Amino acid sequence: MLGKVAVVALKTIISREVVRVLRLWSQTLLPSVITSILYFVIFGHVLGSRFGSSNGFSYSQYIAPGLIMMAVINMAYANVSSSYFTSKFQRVIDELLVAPISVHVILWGYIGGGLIRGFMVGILVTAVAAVFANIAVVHIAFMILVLFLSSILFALAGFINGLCAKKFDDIMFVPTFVLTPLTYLGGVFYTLNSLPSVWSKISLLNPIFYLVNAFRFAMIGYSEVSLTATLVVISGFIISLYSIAAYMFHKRIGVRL
Amino acid sequence: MLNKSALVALQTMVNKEVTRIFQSWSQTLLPSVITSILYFSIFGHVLGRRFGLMNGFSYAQYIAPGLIMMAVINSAYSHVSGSYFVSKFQRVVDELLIAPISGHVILWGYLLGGLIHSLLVGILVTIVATVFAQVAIAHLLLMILVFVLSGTLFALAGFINGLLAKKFDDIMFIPTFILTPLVYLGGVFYAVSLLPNTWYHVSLFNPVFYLINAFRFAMIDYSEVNLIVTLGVIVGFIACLYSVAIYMFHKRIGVRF
Repeated sequence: MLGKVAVVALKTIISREVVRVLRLWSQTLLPSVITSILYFVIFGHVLGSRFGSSNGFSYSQYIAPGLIMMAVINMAYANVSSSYFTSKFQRVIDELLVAPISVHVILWGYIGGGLIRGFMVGILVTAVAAVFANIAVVHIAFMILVLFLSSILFALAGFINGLCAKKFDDIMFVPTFVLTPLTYLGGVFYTLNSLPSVWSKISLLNPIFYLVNAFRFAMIGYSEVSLTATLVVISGFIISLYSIAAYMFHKRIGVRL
Repeated sequence: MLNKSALVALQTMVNKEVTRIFQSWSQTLLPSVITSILYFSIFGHVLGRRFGLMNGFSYAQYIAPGLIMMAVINSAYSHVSGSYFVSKFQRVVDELLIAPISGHVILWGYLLGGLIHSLLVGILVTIVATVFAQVAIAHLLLMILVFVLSGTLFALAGFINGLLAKKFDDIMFIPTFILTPLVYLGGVFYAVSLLPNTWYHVSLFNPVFYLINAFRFAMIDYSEVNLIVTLGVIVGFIACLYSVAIYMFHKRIGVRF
């Protein structure tokens, strides 16, 4: 399927991305760890002790999956958007464009980078979660699947953002004004049934709600919506975004500055 | 006191800083507003209803002063550190150094920029707070005083960070790894009296705790420590940091690349 050249190219791009993540670990990995420690201490521990248990879970247990997902989503997105934009800004992308490799290989190279960073952060924050909350992962294979799908989804979204960005501010806009609100309102901190009915219906339109919900099911076995629907929706989103990203790249839309 | 040319210089610098704030308002003012809306709706509204009262105040009322202070501290700090570092990076600071004005004028030019930025953000977040919580300000003058003092304090800290920074990453380090933890653990979301005894005493070493406490007293008339001590501590910190900043500037430590 993949020619030998393509495999070498893919490996090269991915190893470049991984080196970048590991060298800048104090900016790529550490902030998520610090933030999640703060959230577990303050919301899980200090405030959660006042909540008592919700649906049979301690508050720390309840928010753990959401906090992990939040870190994974943000990092997969940020890795690809900033890495691609920097390649474009520093004209490194020209080297890739003249190489005899297909668009899909380049695209998967960047997505692979985002996927690996998403996984690393996911594992680190899960380790933090294990310190603060009693976590017995219920469905481990499903957990890995959701981690995998959400990283790919947001890596793709980050890639499209990187293509569309014309200046550095443009890659900050979506995380601040779209991603963070969707994540916070995606049921990281509360159950849908604690919302007024109008708002719980609106929350069902939030794609991140489904991811957080699926991940929570994998970790603590509690779900508020159908999981099959969730997986179908996520896969649908991935296919659409992949088509858009590959199309834009083929048509050279935003590929170079 | 100030002669005419110093006044013109100061005015010019402040003008530049204010223009910068308004020109990039979607990055300087809007993010604080969005973040505080999210915090109020999730923690104040959805979760706060489950908390019941925190020492006689609704949870939204209790966290309002802390959220405002958080926005003020972050914007004062990041404005001055960002602005000074960019001036240094783009060598704009050379123009200031050859101008016949004193180090104090230059320092105050940057500080006032940070102060104005933080006041604007403070006012905006206070408006958000009034939408979500019943906010009847108990001591308006003290509130303004605390605003000005904390804006100045963190503008100074940001200036020193700007002097010490050698690359862009250096001005991100302190906000992520020191400022945010201190603010989160400074009693924004809980009364420190809720903490276990050891952690209560540790919290008393956190300077941000005193600021939030003083501001909370000004807004909702509830204080956990002596106010005179608080103001004394803040003024002492300002005096120290001002001396450090002006000393470094005079000795040209980190002033240019």
